[in-house]
Amino acid sequence: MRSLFTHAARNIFRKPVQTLTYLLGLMLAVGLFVDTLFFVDLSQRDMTKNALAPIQVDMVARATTPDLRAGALETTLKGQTIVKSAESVANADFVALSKVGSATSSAAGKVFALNESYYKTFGFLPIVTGKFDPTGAMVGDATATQLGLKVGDSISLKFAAGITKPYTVNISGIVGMGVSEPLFYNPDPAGGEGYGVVADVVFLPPVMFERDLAPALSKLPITTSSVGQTGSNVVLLPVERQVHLKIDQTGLNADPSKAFKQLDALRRSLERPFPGQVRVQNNLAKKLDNAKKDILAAKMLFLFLAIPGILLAAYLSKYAVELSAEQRRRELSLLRVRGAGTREVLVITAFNALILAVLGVLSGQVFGTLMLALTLGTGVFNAANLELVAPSLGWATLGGFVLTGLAFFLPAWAQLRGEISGARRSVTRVQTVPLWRRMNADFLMLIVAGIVLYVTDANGGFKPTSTEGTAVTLSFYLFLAPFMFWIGATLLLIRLLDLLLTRGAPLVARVLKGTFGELGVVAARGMTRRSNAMGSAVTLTALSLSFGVALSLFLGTYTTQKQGDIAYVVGSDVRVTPPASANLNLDFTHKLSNLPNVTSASALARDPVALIGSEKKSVYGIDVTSFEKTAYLTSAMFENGSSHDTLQALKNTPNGVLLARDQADKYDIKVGDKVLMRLYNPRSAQYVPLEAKAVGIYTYLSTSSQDADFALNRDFMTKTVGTTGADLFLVKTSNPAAVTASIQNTFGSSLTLKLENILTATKIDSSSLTSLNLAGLGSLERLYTALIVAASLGVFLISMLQARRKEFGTMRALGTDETQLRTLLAAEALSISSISLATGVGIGTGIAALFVMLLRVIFLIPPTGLTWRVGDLGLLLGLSLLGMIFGVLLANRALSRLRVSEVLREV
Amino acid sequence: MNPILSSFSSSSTPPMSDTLYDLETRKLSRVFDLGERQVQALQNVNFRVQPGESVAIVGPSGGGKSTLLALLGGLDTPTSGQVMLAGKDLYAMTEPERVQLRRGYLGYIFQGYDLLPALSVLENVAYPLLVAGLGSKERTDRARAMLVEVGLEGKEDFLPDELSGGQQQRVGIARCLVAEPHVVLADEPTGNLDTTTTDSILELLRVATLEHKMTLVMVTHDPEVAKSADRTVRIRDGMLEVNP
Repeated sequence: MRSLFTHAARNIFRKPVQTLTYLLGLMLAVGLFVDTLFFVDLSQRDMTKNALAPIQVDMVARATTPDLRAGALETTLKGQTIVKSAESVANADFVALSKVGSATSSAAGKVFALNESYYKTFGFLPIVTGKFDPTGAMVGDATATQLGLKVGDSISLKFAAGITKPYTVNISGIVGMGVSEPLFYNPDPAGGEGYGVVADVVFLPPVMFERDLAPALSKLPITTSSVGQTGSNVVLLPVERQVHLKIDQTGLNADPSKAFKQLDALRRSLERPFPGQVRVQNNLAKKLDNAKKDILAAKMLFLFLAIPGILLAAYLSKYAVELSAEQRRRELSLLRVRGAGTREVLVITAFNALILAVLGVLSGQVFGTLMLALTLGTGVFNAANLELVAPSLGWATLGGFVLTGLAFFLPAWAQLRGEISGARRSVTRVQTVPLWRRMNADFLMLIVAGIVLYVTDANGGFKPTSTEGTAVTLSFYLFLAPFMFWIGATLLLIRLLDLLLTRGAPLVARVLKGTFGELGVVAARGMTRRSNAMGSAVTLTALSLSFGVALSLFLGTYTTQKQGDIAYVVGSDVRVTPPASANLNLDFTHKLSNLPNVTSASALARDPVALIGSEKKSVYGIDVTSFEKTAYLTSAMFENGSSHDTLQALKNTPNGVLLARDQADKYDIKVGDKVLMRLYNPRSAQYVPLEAKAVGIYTYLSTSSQDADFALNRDFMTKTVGTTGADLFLVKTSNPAAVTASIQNTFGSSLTLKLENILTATKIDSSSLTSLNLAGLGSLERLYTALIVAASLGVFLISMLQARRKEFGTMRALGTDETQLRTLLAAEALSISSISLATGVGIGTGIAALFVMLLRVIFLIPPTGLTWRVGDLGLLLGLSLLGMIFGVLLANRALSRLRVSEVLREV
Repeated sequence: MNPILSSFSSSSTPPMSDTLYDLETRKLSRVFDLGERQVQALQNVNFRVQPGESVAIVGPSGGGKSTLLALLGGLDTPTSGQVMLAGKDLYAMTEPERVQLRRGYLGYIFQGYDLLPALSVLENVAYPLLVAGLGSKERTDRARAMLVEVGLEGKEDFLPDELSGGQQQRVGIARCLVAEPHVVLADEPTGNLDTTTTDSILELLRVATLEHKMTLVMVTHDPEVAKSADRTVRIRDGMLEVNP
């Protein structure tokens, strides 16, 4: 056995060209496999993390019976190791709130009992004015604005019948309620999404609440209510007691399905000590459920982006095996002549495969790791990521062994069986029309791709339909379209190429003669009469290029679209939202403009509760001149195809209004129509009528994360309504991070500003799929493409030299000089390269267009076409060209080392 | 049998004379370095061929026949010694000069025919003229004429693998002769052929070299084939044996 192994090892090292060619293919396949899997895992973890990041309150434990003591609940929950923080929350409804000494009062609202630590722990309730005082109350900023409340004022709360005496308390602070939704999570046991946000809110210290209000409120009757998307009935206690939890997420599994199970188990363990008394609402799990679907789609996307590359690299290995088939047959015969039995030959072949697999897998793993370090930096191998690398390496090892089994061992075994049965004495292939061609599989696959696209389109699959926070459903069969297109186009390419090389032989000869002179004709003959070999080389090179081009175009479009989406959500590079109570005027715009690195700034007025007909709509007031300079605008956002023309139409019509397409449809408004609306003045708490004229329609308008239904001229809006016109500010800059910091440093001490920029904004309106960072994968796959192109061309040329070395030796003996031989080689290489380049770019563009079309749903602003990043494509094609040149140089080197006297003796 | 045969020996100094030989080797040696060991393929071989003469080199396998032929054709590099072609040292020439020699002065016929598989019969025959830079019409005319001479008229558009072994070798001979070389080097030209075909090929070679006044050096292991030459030299263990 040992001697058989030694023989197998020697056999491998005796054929360095074949061995290295095979290992090159296997190394690239395994390397790309390792890197892709690593990226999938990395992205999975990032997506899980990103999906959970916006959650402010991870879990809410609600008491379902009035007899439960909140303190006991909090203490018990705090005792759980995975619970990072637990804060008791009690709340009750009030029916009216008024400023002492004023006749104006608010509608019904809620009073919350929160400890001072709650504000610090959860951070979504900033105290914008004043401070927490154990003897005073705080009010929401909207309530403060509406009732004109300030720190030091007294308020009076009225409760439901049964509590006759109003409760009076002094105001110690004002709380920003901009992102206060987590306080109002819907208590829907079926887990539906949604908040029961209440506009008027008062915050009391728990001590005061328990002392002054709870005893009386607890005596009020228990009611039930239908809530949530499912309309489930829940018990509503007069004093609702909750514990808000923050969970230690570091222990959560990267796989959202597993994390979901972990959290569900945690939820049950939290409920267990309080049977029938507590229901824990798992806000993380809801998000994970959505992320799970997104991650599945992301995995499919990654795999579909990388599979062609892996297959191509694997095919390179198989190609190398095919090239050495004749030599292997000779060795086999020799072994059998020397008396080796079937078993020995089989064992030697198995050892050969094993050694190749081990070498290929090891080199692939090392190469894959190096490529990761090269493209992502060595920092990527931190402790957290290393645990992701291990399974990737494991799977890639398995893949490498399977590949070697399929590409090397099985053909060799089949060959051996053929030799034994005497059925085949030669591996020379009989040229028959392949099955796929007889079945017209190329056309069939292209038709299937077309049908999938048509059906998807007919079902509205390309239209953005996602609602906030939900996953985008990308059905698996959608990816069939690009996959079928890729295979169909490839087979069609082979068919067309064969047609060109056989029927179009005179044309090929004419073209090559024109380029390379008389030797071009010889090259043309060689190519047309070896259409199979040429077909393999062109197909391999063209597909590698198409893979790279598709990837480059897709990633370019994806990145542009992603940036556009973020800029659209933010409005510009930075958005500044002051608290409603800040009453900033336009002077603040100038202050922002004067900050370093700021290109421009624009103030926007906003009325989120304007009345159009009987419905509340969001109306913005913009200053066209500064808005045009500052906001993220593209002409594709406007129906007439020009952002400038539309905005100028608004500027030139003082009472003009731009409206969103859906509003135009809903109210049947056309450009030129009169639009009547009523805008709300929070100071006077009155609606003011306004008449505007429709001057343009937009599909998207960058203002804020809230959709803008209508946009007026800011001056017209503020003068008519009587407000300051500065509800939020957009800032354009080339350095969003620095400007955000600068705004915080300059104004943060006196104002609680909500600052968002394109670097930190997380897209809230669509799928977490768009949070995927494909840039790293793109860089990696660009390099792999270049390597596969170089390898396929180099392998083809060198194997061609190997296969035709006797032919080249004869040519030398007949007076062909080295330059002429090189010309022949160059003619073939150039032909392959140019055909591959043209078809590769064509097929690649098609695949990219299909991918972009399929992924339209995940973007807020659907892409209208492909983004051609000339630099990226140029780099890819340049690298591929370098690869080709390297392949030709390698072949030339082999040519100059050809020993004519030796090759002429070969049988 | 040519009397000059007697002047060959593997160790003696070649006789100096005023005769300009078509081919002459002087103390020609070739050692192959196989890593662990060295193989002396040729050892001080002195060998002369006069213009128009046909010489058969015979000997056992591995004796150095083909190595000698390769060195005579400038396809290998001697370890020491010289190959003189019409009085010029072949291995003192530059590679382009040797290429020129292969295009006009030397012609090759191979045992396995070694036709270019992608080219038609006509294109194969015309190939040496193509690389020599002749125009298309002249190439085609001369190739057609040569095909008539070797009896392959009408097979111009056939591909090599559509022909029999004998026909392929005729194409090989036509390809060699079309460039009108002074010296034809043939390596086992009938090695792959049956007896009848061998006779016809040898006849063809004999007539063609006579008509075109060419010198023929032929390697063979077949004594019958060797008899067709003016003289025979035997090579064994890298050394020439005189007049076997």
